[in-house]
Amino acid sequence: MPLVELRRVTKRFGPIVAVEDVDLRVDDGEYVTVLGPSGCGKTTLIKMIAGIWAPTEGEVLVDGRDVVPVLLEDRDLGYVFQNIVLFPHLSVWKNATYSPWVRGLGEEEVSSIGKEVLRLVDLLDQSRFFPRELSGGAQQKAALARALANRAQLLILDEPLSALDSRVRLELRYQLRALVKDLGLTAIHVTHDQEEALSVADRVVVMRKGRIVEEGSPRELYRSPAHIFTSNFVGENNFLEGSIAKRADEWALVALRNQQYLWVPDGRHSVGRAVVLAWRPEYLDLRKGYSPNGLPGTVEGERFLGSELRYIVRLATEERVSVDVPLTHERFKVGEDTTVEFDYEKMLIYPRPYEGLEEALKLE
Amino acid sequence: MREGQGDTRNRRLSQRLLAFLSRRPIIATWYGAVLLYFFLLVLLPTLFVLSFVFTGWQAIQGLLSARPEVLGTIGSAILLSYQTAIIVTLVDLVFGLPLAWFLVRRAFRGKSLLNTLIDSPLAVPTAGLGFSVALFWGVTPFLDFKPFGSLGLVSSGLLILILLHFTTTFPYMVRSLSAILKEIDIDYEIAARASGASKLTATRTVTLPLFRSGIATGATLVLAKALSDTGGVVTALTTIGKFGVNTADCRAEGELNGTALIAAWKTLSDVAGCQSSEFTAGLALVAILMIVSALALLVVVKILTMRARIPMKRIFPTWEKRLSRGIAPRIRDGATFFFLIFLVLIPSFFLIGFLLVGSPEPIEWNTLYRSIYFSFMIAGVATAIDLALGIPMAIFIVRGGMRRLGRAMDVLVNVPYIVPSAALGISLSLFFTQQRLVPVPSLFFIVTLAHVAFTFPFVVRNVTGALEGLDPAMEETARSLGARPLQSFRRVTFPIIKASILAGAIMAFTRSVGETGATLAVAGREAIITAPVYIVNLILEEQNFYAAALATTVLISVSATAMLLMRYITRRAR
Repeated sequence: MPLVELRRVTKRFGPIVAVEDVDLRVDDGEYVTVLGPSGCGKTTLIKMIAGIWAPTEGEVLVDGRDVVPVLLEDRDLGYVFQNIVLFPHLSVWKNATYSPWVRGLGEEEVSSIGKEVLRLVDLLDQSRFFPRELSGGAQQKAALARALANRAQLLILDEPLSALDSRVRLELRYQLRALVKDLGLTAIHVTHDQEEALSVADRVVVMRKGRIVEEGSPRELYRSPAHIFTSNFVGENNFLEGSIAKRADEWALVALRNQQYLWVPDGRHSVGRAVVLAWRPEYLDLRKGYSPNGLPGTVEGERFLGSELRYIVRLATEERVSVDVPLTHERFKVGEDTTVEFDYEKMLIYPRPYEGLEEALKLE
Repeated sequence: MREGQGDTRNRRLSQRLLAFLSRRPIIATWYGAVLLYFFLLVLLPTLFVLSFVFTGWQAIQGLLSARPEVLGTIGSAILLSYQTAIIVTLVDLVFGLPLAWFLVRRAFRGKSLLNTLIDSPLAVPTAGLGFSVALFWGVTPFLDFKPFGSLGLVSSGLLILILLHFTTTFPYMVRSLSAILKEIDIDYEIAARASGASKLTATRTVTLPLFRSGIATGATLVLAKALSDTGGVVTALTTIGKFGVNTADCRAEGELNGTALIAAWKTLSDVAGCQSSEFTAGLALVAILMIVSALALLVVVKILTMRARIPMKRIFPTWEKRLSRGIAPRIRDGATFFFLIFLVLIPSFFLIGFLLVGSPEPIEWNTLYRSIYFSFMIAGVATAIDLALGIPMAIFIVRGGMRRLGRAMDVLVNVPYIVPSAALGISLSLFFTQQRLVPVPSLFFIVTLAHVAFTFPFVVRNVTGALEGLDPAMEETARSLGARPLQSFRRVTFPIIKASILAGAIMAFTRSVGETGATLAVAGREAIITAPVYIVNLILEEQNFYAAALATTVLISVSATAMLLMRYITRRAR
């Protein structure tokens, strides 16, 4: 049985529709990230789950019970904020024990819960400090301890790592997941960082313009995104536009711009259909001279990414692609002619979006 | 775009002028002049009366041995002042907090209307408020009929003063509380409630402790206002027959508080048959006691709100939960609005209703017009001086680069505001008649200086507030693009803080127009008759309530028109 379920939920603020007709199920023990560009409605979505806002339409069910009329303080959840919001006038200890304290538990119980949650986030020896005396990462850990002390099954994380330095963000990311899994909690984690979403989640829900675009395991979403928006928002992609010119069994000849042609594996699209081919930069390769399954182009730029090199190549179709190659790869100079080779196994093919490619990829 | 040669030359000239004016020595001189003015003509005169303890000790001793009952009179007057001020502050807090919450945390239609309503009593000069409140609540021995709607219940001085000061202070309380509440992130409340705290528990344990500075500011404003008001006190006490000046016996009679006592003695000191030297000593003594006790009280308030631990140990989850929902919050909101409507708004404007039912009595229109003219002249000149000195002072406090002095000035600027203005007036007139440092100017000039002293803090407070909220990086960016300090102020800082400057100016102006105590204390009731003094005179000497109500209404409408005009002009200028 799902722990949290949203049924046809819509939220309007005056004329603005923040969330539109969303259905979502989160299973017991699952770690779900809600991923989307800023302004896509993801924060509104979890605020409705938490009970900070009531939906304009639709139902929010927790454990099969409609919780819309239930007040925030009776919802039984842990909430972690992007801007941390530890109570500045209370010590870390008082912050961490706030929940058992306001629930009126006995002194011993309060202190044993405090010790337990602070040990979990490794802050027990700093419990006498005030929030402003801690580093950003330690502050967010203390806030996490405060949320855990609520002893709730459901943890809601509203961009919990966005305010932190990039190194701290990476470390905390895995601690967060490990903690949730060890304690057997259910987590809904909102983020705009696709790398963070992929690396912590059991399942990723992609949102755009108030709606859910698609959802799936991180691997599925990266490897075979069903929606063209996802293919570019989750990881990067190169796109070539064209139309099916000829078919032969499971192969199709795609007519690209400027009289360029490519044979690609495709059994789904009929002749004449406008399509978009997509490859991630790491699935492309560069070589000198002609290649049968490649397109000619000119190197326009080179960028150093640390572990690999990225070449920006203008193809004969006038489209630009990024090609990531290992540092040991043979080098090209800017302005040099080259051939871009495509890995057909890893290719994605989409029908051309009716609103145009650019519009379909736009964040807002 | 082509430019004429004259344009270019002008521009070059103004560039050079700006460069010259932005030079360090020039700016330092300007700061110095402002500080000098403040110390010499604001702070020193304000506290000058304290020196009377040394210079006039014999006069005080003489007074006390000749008329030993004076000490008791002063004691009970000051006690009455503080009883009133403290009770009013506490009640204002109780009703001000939920109202501020309502205004800040809830979205509803007509919010700006509610804001205007809450501020509206500020438009009535306190001299008018005093008798408006007394007409509504009080028994009116001088009136041969009971005005329609009047309750006629209150005959106690303490009670009428408390009721009066609800109207004079509640707007200040709500304003300062909601200003600070706006700054507190609502996420703190959400975090507390997500942890299982009910609304009441969250407010008590999280928001209120973060709110101390707001409570301190509100309490300070209200205490100062309630302690220093004279016009409202005199008219309210007179209306219920508790203020009298017996010129035959040279005695003040009735149930007087500190400022009323000053007003009464000041009147008596001008009466030919009374010994004016005795009253000089007496007035100085009251002024000293009020100034010292006001400063002490403020320190206490500061310590209480900053140090006192809000009782936090115990939590009563079920009870607090029960009080957070259902009928309890409704009762709270209902009581708050009841207070706002029946204890603040209706009493404030009751005098307008009185105009409709009272029997018309003659009014000397010429004297009224002259008094309004005087009030506006004084307020205009005082506000102009406030702006000329207050803006540089605020910049000096926030950006002056002299940390210690800046912080010290931040505190000192408030002193003339905190000191009861009647006591300040006594101090000022003593200063200008006794010292030899500054030449003695005209009475009009001294009154204006007195008004500068107690309105000056409004401008400085508002502007420092705005400057502190402004990222210095903005000015630095302008400077890095080649702007001189004065240019960057004019082009970047000024447009951003303009609204706060205007707010400060309006507060200073209205306070000056409505002020009675200092004007009375400096000039007496006959020499310079400002509009509020005229209203006091009408009530005190003639018991001409109808004329007083009419004069107040005229003053309110003139002030309101002036204010709207000022808003309109500044909006156009944008």
